[in-house]
Amino acid sequence: MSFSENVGSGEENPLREGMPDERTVRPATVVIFGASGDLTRRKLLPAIYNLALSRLLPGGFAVVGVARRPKPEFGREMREAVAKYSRRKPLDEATWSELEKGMAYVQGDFNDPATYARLAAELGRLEVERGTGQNRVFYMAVGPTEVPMIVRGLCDAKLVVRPADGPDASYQRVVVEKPFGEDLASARALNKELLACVDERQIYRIDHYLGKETVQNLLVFRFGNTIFEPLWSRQHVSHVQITVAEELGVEGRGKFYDQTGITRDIVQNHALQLLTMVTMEPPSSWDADAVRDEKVKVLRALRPIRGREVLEKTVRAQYTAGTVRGDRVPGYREEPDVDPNSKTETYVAMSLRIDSFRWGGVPFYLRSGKRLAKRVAEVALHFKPLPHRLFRDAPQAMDGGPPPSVRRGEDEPNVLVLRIQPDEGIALRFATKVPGGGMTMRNVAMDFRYGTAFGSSTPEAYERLILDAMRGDATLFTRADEVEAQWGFIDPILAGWRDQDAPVATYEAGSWGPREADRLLVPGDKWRKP
Amino acid sequence: MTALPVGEALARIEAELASFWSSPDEQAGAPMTKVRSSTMSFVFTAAPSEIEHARATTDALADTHPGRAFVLTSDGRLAPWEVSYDVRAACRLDGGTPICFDWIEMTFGAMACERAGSVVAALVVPEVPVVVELGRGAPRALLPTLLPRADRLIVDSAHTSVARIAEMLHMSTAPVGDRQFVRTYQWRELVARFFDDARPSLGSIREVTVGRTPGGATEPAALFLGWLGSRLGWGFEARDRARDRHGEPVRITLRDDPREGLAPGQITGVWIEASLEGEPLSLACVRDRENPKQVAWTRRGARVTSHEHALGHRDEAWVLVKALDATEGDRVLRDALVLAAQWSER
Ligand SMILES: NC(=O)c1ccc[n+]([C@@H]2O[C@H](COP(=O)([O-])OP(=O)(O)OC[C@H]3O[C@@H](n4cnc5c(N)ncnc54)[C@H](OP(=O)(O)O)[C@@H]3O)[C@@H](O)[C@H]2O)c1
Repeated sequence: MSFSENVGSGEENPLREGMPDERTVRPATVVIFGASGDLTRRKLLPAIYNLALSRLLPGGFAVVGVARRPKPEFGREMREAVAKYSRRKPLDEATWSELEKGMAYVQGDFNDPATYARLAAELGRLEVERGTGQNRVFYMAVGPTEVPMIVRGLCDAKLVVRPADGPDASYQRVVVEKPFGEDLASARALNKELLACVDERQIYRIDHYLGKETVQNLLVFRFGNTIFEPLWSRQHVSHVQITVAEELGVEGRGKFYDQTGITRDIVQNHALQLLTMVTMEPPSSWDADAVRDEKVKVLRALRPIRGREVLEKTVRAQYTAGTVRGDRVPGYREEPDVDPNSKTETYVAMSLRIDSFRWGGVPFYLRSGKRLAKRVAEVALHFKPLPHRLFRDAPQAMDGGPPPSVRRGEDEPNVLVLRIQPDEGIALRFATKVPGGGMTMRNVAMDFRYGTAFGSSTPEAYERLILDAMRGDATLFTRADEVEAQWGFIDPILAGWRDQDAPVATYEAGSWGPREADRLLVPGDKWRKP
Repeated sequence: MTALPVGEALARIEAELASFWSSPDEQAGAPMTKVRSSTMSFVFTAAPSEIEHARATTDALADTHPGRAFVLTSDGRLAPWEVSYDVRAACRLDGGTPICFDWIEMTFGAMACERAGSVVAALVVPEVPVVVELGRGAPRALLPTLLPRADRLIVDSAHTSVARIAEMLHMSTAPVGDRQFVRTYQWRELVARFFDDARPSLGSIREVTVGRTPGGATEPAALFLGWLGSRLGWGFEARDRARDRHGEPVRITLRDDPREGLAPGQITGVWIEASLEGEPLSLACVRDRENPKQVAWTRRGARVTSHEHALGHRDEAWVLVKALDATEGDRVLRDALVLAAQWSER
């Protein structure tokens, strides 16, 4: 029996065979910078608690929060946050109290070396008490400007060292939140700062979209089934629409938003991730670099949109007052802390091309906006029309009566919709025969919903991502060259808008966007109303 | 429930299901088409006294593994060729769409048992796997017709002996999940952890002791020893003696360890004596006396470490989901069951 071959050989532990590998996480401490902030409360601690509840955390585990404010009751506050934001309720006391035993808070400014000395002391204590060794995941739940300072502080205090090889060597990793820079230059500068003291292998850049089950499922759908991939090319696909729509407006973050805009906030990261997942070539393995190599290739094959081309291939817009889900809402320029003459876009639509053998000639329509009719993220593949419409001019009805009418819209080509949120699932539109004499067709949708097949409480993106960072699996994190390629595509568009003084269209809140977006489409194509 | 000949009952069940599925759902006010969501057909068979328990199991499963559920038993009081049945169906709204499931309960008379497999075959949902779970007291007469239909078998070695399970493995080639193997996962994980950084000592284990509370319906040490032995290439010469793959002897000791507040047949501790680079290595993973949900994990000798671990509690719905889905351990479990049955026979 092969499994006994390596007994005592110093290789794999044969007793681990058949155990879920996600569980074989080595003991570690997660250090959260920005622990008094919103992300920690709403996402990170609830995710860590749910990992504990699913028994996915290692036996030796600790969490240390670091931020400026004093937090004498850090444990209690986190308990309240978890009770409120956890996907599973009510709070399991036993699990929480076990977690809380390994929890600590260090107060201090990120630019003060004493903060790192205090952190080192706390880590020294916990690493012995909780048996976590020097395995550390430093989570940067802070804005991008703070990150270099923190990483430098960690390096100077020797809390992070470059990785040593060997199966039992301890590890230190740095998790960086989005946004990763605000343009290509700042992203490059941030990469440079990080790489000055840690290796690329130690950096985990978060795009929480990649932690979503349904986004990962895009790859399973494509590469885990035999019947779809053969259709996945210019031979069969007429165009692809990618929509990331929100109902919400700027929600009190007018000041932040007015400096950012939807292109930086959503398109540079989430929407481009969706695009690459849908269009990448199959990687040779489910290995972090193999997957990311393929994604980067797609980004490099994206035809740049430069200078005057922005006027033809993109539309930027802002919402005006309107009604969303029955509520009257103000226009963007009337939102608090927004410049009344602002040109910041709350909607963007683009017509993209990928210059590759697989996708040459296929338009990719990408749009994202706030205050649209509905919260939805989806990718829709529209297939080519039939080469010959056999049933369109159907013969006389059997009974000799008038020919059956084929109503408009009812003989449209097939569409495959991959819904990311909400109601995660897959829908396929195809034609069927209407029962009775004649050959009248009607389109129907075959609809599959994940929630109904696997229960609705699937893990949150952050659970998967925190666990992967602890396991050292970077597949679902953005690599340096990937982030730079994303910005490399976005930067010229932002510059084009500025240099060409591109118009800012408007759309009514609660609609599907500005009419101007229609001119991006090839004649005959229509924007979807999901 | 009325009793009918098998064929007639089947026709009525089909008619009831057809009428349910072809009528619209009215929950949302307006009539809406029902949507079926199917991941499997789940067949639970157990003694008649276990039916309530079976219902709870299949109800809980509808949330995570919807499909068609069957609860099958047999009852000597029915006319031999008859069956009694009950059909239930329910819908819940998901994003405005009614998602529906159905349940079929059948009790077979003594002679009708041999037709259970064909009834199931007629009623299962196409294209999705058939999972058969053998609950407590599953009627023996149902098994020969059900097991060959299974794409996956779920057993529970906490109430069915490993010898009996090994026997069933001969009746079906389907992969097996064992609830008890899921429940005792943490013991195996904690034992595996002893060796993560001391792998060479796996080849020098000289003694294994398993403690357990007395009075269990089956021997809890069997599965554990079957697992450990099969991973390491051991053969059992007697219940208290194994040979490792180099032919070296390993002493096996079972220890009765009564604990207040712990059910019978629970593992209370595992002790292993081995050596590493010529130095003795003593490993122990033992439930705390005061708090049996806590274990002390210690290594002494060539490696010195100690931790406390919470064993935590998992409800049976979770245990079943893992037995269904955690297929990565299938081969390991099969090897463990086969060797555990050999150990039991010694
Ligand atoms: N919130 C979300 O849901 C969300 C989602 C996706 C991505 N993100 C990203 O995650 C990051 C953090 O977001 P957030 O919403 O949690 O921000 P936040 O609420 O503003 O929290 C910022 C944290 O950083 C600390 N901090 C900032 N400067 C500091 C300094 N010089 N010294 C010590 N502590 C300092 C703050 O401590 P004090 O308050 O104690 O001063 C606070 O704990 C951002 O990059 C954001 O874009 C957030």
